[in-house]
Amino acid sequence: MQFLNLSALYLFSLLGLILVFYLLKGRRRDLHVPSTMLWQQIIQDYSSPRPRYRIRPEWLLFLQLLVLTVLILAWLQPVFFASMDTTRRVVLVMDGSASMQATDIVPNRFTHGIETAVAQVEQMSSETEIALVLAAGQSRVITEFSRDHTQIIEDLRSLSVTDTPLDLTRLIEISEVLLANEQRGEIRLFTDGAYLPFTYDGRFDFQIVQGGADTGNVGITELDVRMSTGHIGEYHVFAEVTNFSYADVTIPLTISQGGRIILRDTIQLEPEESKSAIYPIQAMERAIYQVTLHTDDALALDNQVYLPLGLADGLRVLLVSSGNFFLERALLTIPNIRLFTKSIVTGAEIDLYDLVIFDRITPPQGVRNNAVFIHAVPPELDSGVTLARQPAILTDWRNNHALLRFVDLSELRVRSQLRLQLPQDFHSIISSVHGPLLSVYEQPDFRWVLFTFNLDESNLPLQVGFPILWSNIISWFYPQFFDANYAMVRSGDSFEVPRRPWKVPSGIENPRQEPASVYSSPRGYLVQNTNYQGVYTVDMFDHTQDFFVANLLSKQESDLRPQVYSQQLQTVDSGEAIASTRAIWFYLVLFVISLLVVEGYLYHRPQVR
Amino acid sequence: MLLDHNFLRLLENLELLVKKTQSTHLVGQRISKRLGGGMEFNDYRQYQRGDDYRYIDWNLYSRLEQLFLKQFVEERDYLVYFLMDQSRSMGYGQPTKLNYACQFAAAIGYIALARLDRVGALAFGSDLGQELRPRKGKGWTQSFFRFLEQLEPNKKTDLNHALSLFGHKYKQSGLVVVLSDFLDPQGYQQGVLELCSAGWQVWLIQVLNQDEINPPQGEDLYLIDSETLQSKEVYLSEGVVGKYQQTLQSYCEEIKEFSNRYGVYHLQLTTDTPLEQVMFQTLRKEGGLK
Repeated sequence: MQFLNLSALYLFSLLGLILVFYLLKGRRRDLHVPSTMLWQQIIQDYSSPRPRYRIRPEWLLFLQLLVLTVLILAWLQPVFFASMDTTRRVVLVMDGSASMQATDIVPNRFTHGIETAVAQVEQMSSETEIALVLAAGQSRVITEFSRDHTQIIEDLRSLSVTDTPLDLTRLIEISEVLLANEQRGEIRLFTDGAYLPFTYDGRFDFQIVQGGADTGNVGITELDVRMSTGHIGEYHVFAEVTNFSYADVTIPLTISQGGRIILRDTIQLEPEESKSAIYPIQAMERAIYQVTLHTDDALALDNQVYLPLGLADGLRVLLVSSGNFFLERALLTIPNIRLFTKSIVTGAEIDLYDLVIFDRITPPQGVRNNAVFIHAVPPELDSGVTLARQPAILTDWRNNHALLRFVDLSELRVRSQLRLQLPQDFHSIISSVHGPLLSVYEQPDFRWVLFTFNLDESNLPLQVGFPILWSNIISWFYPQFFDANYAMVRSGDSFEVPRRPWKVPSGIENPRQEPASVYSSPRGYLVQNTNYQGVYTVDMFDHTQDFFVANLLSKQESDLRPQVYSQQLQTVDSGEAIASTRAIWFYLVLFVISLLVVEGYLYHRPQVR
Repeated sequence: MLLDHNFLRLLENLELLVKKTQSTHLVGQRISKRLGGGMEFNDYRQYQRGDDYRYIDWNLYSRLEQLFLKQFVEERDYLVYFLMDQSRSMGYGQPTKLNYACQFAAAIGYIALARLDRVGALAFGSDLGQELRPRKGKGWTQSFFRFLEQLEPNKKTDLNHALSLFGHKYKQSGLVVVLSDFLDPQGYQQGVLELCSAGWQVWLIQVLNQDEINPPQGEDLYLIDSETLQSKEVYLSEGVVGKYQQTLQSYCEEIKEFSNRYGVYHLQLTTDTPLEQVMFQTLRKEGGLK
C-alpha cells in the first residue's frame, strides 16, 4: 500500500489533541461522601503513586482515536498495490514506435525497453498469463496469453522497432480485446512516453514503464509537394523543421537526388520553434529526392525524408470516335496523357487502356472499365432510349461535384439530347427538362461518365471550362496522377497502388528489400505494412517499376522529451516493482461512518448504574 | 407535610409490636402486665384479706360458697422516643438520609400516636440537641411532624456520647428508635448498651444512600468527608470499589450481629426504598409492626 498524499501526515498530531482533551477530562473531581471512615483502610491498601492526569481506558476514546486515524488515512489517499504475482493476466505492450530508436540510452530506447520487460517477466509468477503486443502505427498481437514465460522472453527479444508513430488508441483497443473476458487484468506499456498525454478510463489497470532521458531533438515534421501550374516539371517542396530542445540550433539542410545535392539551406531554430521553408525543384524525370538535416541528434530517423517527384508513367487514354477536334485538343492539354484514337474498338482492346472515351460510337457489350460515353449508351442501358430534339433547358447542375470544379456551365446550350431512364446508381451532375445531360456511375472497380448529348450539337466545346472539365474528368478517374503527394504516405499508413488494367503489380518491396504484404482491393492493391521509412518499390508484370515513399513526419515521435501523465496513470521507473493500484479511501470513509454509528449508540445508550 | 393523608390513613391500621409490655404509669390502650382496674378480664384467684370487695365474683360464691376475686388487665400507654442523628453525614444524597429518616420516624410516630402512645423525639449530634417532649394523641401529630421537618444535618457525630447521655437522662421503659447511618469512627456500641441498661427497647434504623453502596467506578476522585471535610485521593478502580463494598457489608453485618446479641432490633434502609414497602412489608415481616 502506498499513500499519494503524504503531506497530510501532520494531521496525525490531532490524535494528541484528543488525548489532551481526555487528560483534561480525567482530572480528579471532588466527591462528597458521608464519611471516609470505611475508606481509610482501603485507600492505604490500594494507594499507589498515580499521575495527576491520567487517561482512563474507555470505549469512546478508543473509537474517537480510531475514527480520526481512519479519516487521516483516507486523507492520505492510500492506494493498494496488488502484487503483480496476483495479477492473473498481463498484456505486455512494447512500444515499437519511431521514437524508441533514440540513442540517448545505449544502444537505444527500444532495446532498453525490451530488457526491462524481460526482467519483469522473469520476476512474474509462473501462474501469470502474459500476452505480448507490439505497439506502433499498426499495433499487433505477437503472442496470445501464455504461461510459457520463456517463449514470451524469446518473442520479446525477437521484436524489432518500426519507423511509425504510436497509435495509443489502437493499442488500448487491442489490449482490451485480449482482456475482454477478464474481470481484472493489467495492461503494461513499456514506452519512452513520446506521445501526447492521455487518460486511460478503461476498467483494467494501466501501467506505464517509462524509459528514456529528457533529450533534445530536431526533426522534419511536415512535408508537402505541389506541382507548379503552368510549368511542367516544376515542384514546390514545403518542409517544416521543429526544434524539440531547449537550446538554439543551426542546422544545414540539403535536398539531393541520387547522391547529388541540388539544394542547400541552413535553418536556425530557437528552442521549441518550428520553421517552414518552400524550395523549388525541377524534376522532369520521375525520381526520389531526399531532404536531409545534417545533425547528430538522438533520433536520426526524422532527419531525413523522401519525396517522389516527376511524372509517373502516362495514362493511356483511348478516344473511340469518328473524329472530334475539340475533344482531342482538350485531352492533349492534360499533362501525362498518352492519347490513342480509334474509330472501332473491340472488347479485348479496352483492357489495354486506362480510360476509353466512346464519342458517338456504340460501345461493345460488357464494358467494365473506366469509360466516358458521349452521346452513346452502353448496350445494357440502351432500351427505351429516344432522342429529344427540342433544346435542352438546364434545370440543375451540381457545382460542388469534382467534375464541375472551376467549370461554369451557366451558358451551356444543347440542341438535342438522348432521353433515357437511368438506373438509380447513376448520379446526375447536369440535368435538363428532358433528363440527365451528364451523369456518373461508380462501381468499386470502375467508373463511368455519361454525356447524353452530342458535343457538336452544343456550345460546350466553346466554353472556357471545356478543357478544365476534361481535366477534372481524368482526375476523377485517376486522382493519383495529378497529386504530387499521392505517392507519399506517413509511415504506418496504408498505400493503395491504383488498379490499372494493363499494370498489375508482381511484387512490392519495402525499404529493407523485404517483400511487403499486398492485399487486393476493388480499386487497387493495398500495402498496409509501411512500417519503415523509405522507398517502396512496386514491380509490375510488364517489367516496369513504380514506387512510393513512407516518411515519419510525426511531431509526437520527434519530441523525445518525457510527457507529463494524468493522475490516473502511474508512471513507474524501469527498476521499480510493478503493482496495480486500488484507491481505498472510499472504504475507509464507509468504515468511519459505521464507527460513528457505534459511537453514537455508546454515547446515547441508557446508562445503568 | 412529611407524609400525605392517604398514607397516614393506611398507617392507622398498623400497630407497633413491642417485645415487653413496658408501659408507663399513665393509662392508655396498650395492655400492661399489671393487673388491676382495667376493663379486660384476665383470671380468678382466691380472695385474700385486704382485697377490694368490688372485684369479688358473687355469682361464683353462690355456686361454690368460696370467695374468688376477678382479676383485670390494666390498659396503659407506651412511650416511643425517636433519636434523630443530625450529623452532616445524614445530609448526603437526594433526598437526604435525614429526610428519609424523618419520614420513617413520622410514620412510626403516627402509628404510636394513633394508639394513644406517647411519642417524643430528640435530635443529636455529638451531644443532645433539640427535644420534643413526649405527648400522646393524634393532636400531637402536627407538632411532631413540624419538629422533624425543621431538623438540619449540620452537626458532628458522636453516637456513643449522645446515646449514653440519653440513657442516663431518661431511665424509663419504652421504645427508643435510633435513626442514623452509624458511620461514626468512635463507634456506637457503648451508647446502645447504655440505652438497653436504662430499660429501653432499642430499634437501630440504619439509613444509607444507594450511592454510598455503589460508588462510581473508574474515576479519579477526591473523597471529601462530609463531617470532617478531609479529602482522600483515590482512583475508584473496580478492585477498590469491590473492596469498599465488601467493607461496608461487613460493617453492616457487624451492626446486625451486635444487635442480635443484645436483643436490639436492627433494620437497614436505603433512601430509594419506598416507605410503603418498609411499613407494610419489611416491618410487618420482621415483627416490628402488625
